[in-house]
Amino acid sequence: MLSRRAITRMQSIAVLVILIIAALGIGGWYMMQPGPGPGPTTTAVAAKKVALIMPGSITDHGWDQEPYEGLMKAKADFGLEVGYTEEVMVTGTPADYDRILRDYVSKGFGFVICHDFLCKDSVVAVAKDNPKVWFAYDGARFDPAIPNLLPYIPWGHEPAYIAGVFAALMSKTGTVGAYDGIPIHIEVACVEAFEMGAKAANPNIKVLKNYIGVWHDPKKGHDLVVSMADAGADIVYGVGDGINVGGIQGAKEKGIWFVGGTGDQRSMEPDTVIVSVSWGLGPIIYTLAKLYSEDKLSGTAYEFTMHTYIDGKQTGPDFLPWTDANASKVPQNVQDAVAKARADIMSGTLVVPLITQAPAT
Amino acid sequence: MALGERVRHYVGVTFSVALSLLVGFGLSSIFILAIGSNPLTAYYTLLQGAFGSAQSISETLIKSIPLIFTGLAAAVAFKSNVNNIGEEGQLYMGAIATAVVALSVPVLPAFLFLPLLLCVSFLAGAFWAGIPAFLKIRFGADEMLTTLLMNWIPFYIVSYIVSGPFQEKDKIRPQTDFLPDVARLPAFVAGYRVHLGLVLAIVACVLVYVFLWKTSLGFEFRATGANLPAARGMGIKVNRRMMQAMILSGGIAALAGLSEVAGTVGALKLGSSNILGYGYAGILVALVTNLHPLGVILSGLFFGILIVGSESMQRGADVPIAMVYIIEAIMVMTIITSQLLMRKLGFKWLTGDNSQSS
Repeated sequence: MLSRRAITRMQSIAVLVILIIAALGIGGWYMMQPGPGPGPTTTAVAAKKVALIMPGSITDHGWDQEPYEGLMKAKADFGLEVGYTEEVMVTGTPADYDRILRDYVSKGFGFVICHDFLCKDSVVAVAKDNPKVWFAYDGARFDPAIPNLLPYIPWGHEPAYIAGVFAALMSKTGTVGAYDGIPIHIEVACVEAFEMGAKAANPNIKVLKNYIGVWHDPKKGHDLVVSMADAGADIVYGVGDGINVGGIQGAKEKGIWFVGGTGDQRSMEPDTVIVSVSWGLGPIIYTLAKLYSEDKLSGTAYEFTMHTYIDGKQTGPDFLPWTDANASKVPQNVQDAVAKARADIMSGTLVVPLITQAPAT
Repeated sequence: MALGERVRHYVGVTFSVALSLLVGFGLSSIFILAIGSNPLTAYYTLLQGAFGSAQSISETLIKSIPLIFTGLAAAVAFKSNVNNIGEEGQLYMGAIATAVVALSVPVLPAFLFLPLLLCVSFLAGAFWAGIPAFLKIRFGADEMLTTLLMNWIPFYIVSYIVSGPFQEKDKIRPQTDFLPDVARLPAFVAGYRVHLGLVLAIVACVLVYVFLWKTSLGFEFRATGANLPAARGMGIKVNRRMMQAMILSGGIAALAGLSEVAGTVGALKLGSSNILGYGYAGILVALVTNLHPLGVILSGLFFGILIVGSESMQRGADVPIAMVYIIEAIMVMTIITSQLLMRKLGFKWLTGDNSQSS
């Protein structure tokens, strides 16, 4: 108790300091007040408002960042008012989608895109309750048909097949790897097509496949890629956002090649990520926002493959080849094989089977 | 406590909380101003988001339910000298047990089904908390470490079962099928999601309060938490009490999982709490109330309002998502520090600290 008085004085000063800062803050409000008091900020009825809800971070070079950039591009091009919510699954749970969707509806948004598989039941319920608002979500073609709800699906199996051809021919060890987060339809389609492509190019190739169980954890991706490299893989294809951020680091440490997934991940580590399998999520969201701004949306499933053309432009998944800086590292026979696979797929002479369920192991 | 003293106590608590809220919002407005938004508009949209419509009130309550459960779980453990920070994992165990049992056993009438789910989820969480409790008592393993690490195991069990044995019939999404209706916690009003879990949460808090403050066994729990050597000296079996507190805490945390799976969502989905989700938030919920079971109800509601409102604010007032986290963190800090400061300053009656008076 001997320092009771001293402590008291110090604490008094601390309280005082906090109160002064608070007073400054409160004073600050009134200084910044633009005339009338608070009120609903949205008054314009005419402005077309599009909202995008994403499970992860908009800085992940993939699943979340590309749609965000597509939305921002649409905002600039079509004068849309936009809103977005990121990291729903990082800071919240799937139960939050219901609330976020309704919140956007109550704020006057006319088109709400929910960019996650797990929001299906929420988006279906909210779309039924709000027939005048458009909704889109990352869905499946046999999801329930609701007039104002459109599922969109990026099928990446064709570019993943090309990536498989590329990886098998680039590999010197005869072992390649492919991993993903959770084995659901569009993910399985890519991993299986990658294996088919690799086996087509080199029947003796060994393909290590793994589903990590999570999409957002860089550490897991890193550790898996390192263990694949230790098992002999010298080129690994990763599908995911956070797990690829870590996976690419793992590949860099081990000095092996990496095939990016979901978006264009070549710029993340140009010396490691040699090619990328993009789902074209940016152009897909951009296209949906464009159709909305032109009142051309319809409640059907929007499926995107390498054969999808919108306004004469290929829109959706694609194989993004090596950059010019890396071209010298890709032997001519590999370049030719990739070009041939791509040409065959585009002309229809090669049809890549769409496998949506992981085979039992 | 005499009546006058009691009134003075509650006035003091109210005053202290109100003051810290004022300071918290004051501090937060500095950050909101710094990014060029108007704090008044921001707070208006915050309140709108939390209370603006019947729907948003329902959503705010929904968000509070798991926080009350995990907050109560943390309060019970911390009050009894066991640092259970594994509420997250215990929540997941409750969620897993609920989903697996509800989807596996033949459909029973609701009056049997719900108590069954209540029991299995409680037991699952209690079991999961019992392991670190046993390791602590038997081998002296630090329960902070063991509970923390054990959070990850159920997280990946969820990942496995929602994409493996219990994946929905469509085999598309990482989630289970929906639970049969009789296994669902019924909603109060059609069209609004708020459900029976809210009542369960409040009843749990009241029961725990009565247990801790009105029974001699509860007194032994608190004595173990207040002063371990003294409690041991009094002849209290402190090891046994700590073990029991941990198991009770784990079971309560698991009920948050039950409420999410059988109530709010209706299915087990990937990331049903999220690591760094309700489990850890529950520790804050408990800390700001000085580990008081009844206070947990209020602080759970407060966090529900704060989370739902500030996220809505982010969408309405054009402030970045980081601002939401900043405001939440400032609120927690101001409430906790205000209690500490007031106690240090000698305003005991202002702090809600009734440990002396009981």
